Amino acid sequence: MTAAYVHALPGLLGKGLAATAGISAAAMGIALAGGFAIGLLRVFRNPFLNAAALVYVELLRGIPLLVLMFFVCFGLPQLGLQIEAVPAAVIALGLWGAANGAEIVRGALNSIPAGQSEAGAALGLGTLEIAATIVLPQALRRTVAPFMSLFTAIVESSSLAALIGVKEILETVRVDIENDASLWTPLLLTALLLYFAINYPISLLSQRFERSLS
Amino acid sequence: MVSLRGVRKAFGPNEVLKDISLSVDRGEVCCIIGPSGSGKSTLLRCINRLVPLDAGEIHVDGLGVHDPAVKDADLRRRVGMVFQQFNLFPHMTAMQNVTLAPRRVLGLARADAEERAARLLEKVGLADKASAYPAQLSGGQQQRVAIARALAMEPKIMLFDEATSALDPEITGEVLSVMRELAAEHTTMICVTHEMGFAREAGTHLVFMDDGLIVEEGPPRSVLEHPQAARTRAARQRASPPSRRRTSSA
Repeated sequence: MTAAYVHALPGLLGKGLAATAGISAAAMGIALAGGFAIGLLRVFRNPFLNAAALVYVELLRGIPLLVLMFFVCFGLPQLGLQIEAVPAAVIALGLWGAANGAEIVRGALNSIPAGQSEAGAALGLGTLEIAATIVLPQALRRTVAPFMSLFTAIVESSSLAALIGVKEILETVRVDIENDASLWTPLLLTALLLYFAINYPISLLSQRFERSLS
Repeated sequence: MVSLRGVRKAFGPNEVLKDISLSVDRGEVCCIIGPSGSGKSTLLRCINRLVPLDAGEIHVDGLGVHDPAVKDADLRRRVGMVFQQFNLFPHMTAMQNVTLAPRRVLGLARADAEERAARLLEKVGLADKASAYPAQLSGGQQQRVAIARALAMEPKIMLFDEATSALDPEITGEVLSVMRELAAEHTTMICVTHEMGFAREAGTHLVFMDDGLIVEEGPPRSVLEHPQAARTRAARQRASPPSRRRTSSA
């Protein structure tokens, strides 16, 4: 068993870990950028953009991530849009993350008391100046901790990509276990440690951000 | 300096201001008193257009508040406002709170804005708190920074919306003394207040509002000591002894 475990490790720590980290990082980028774009649309007064953003957020938050991933990977090709497994995982995780990120941004913006904008308006500042100098700087701080939670959720959910055949941590473990059933416990324990090793620094970073912003 | 004629405002079915007319001259200190929900704050907020009018006219320093051609910024640089809840910007120091609008709206250079702010912070007794953040200041100190922030725009008129109502009774005095000082310098002021003592001593004009109407107005002493309207009499009795009554924060 020991020899088989040692033999399995390089694949897990190499390509498997790299795939999980890469997919997660790309999805985080989409969640962050998309979350801010859609979250800002949600608080705009333009009714069309507002409604479009609302539909997106409610739709994406109301469906299971795994089904979304299956749809991007296996459903879209039948509609003529061929997407490989890795980009499919990134797109599904990113779209899902952006919807949750949008709610974080909207919540943070709405949490700033109306008196802040009023005080800015009473001083003669314009709407954009109020947003840029008064509301956004305060709201940004309030997005840090929830975005860090979202990022750890993205890392955890990236394991769903195993089910569309992406050779990330979990799928690498599964293939090795199929060859040698005695590896269940050691390889799964290793996988758990790897996920923890990615997420714990994110959690530490979050605590550090919160301390420095308070 | 400020004149209101036939001002009306409703929020949905709720008529908050019903035909208000009022005139405040340069250098006057007009205090508005009256029960909660009588429309005092809404009236104040109509003057700097935080609340749009439904009908009527308001002129401030020759500018028509009701006139859509008048820009918000042109109006608001003439009208300073102090809020019940201070509304300081928590992510900025006292100095940054005071210099923000002069730099962004008036286009003052940083050094000029800071010089002006330092002078005003000294005026409100907070010269040593320039680099403090609002969270590091007491309520009274925050409100004094807020007064300095409004004064930094060198407004023609100052509006005070229950400036001491959110403060503990022990520290309303430090804010009231700054307001008294401004009144003594003949700053044109309109103050919504529960502080009868301030209205009596610093005010030059007293307005009693009830249910969206001005019930009574005139020189503070005569309105308070010889009230004509029953509601004014009742309010006067409730408020005595003056200025020691703790008012609830909204």
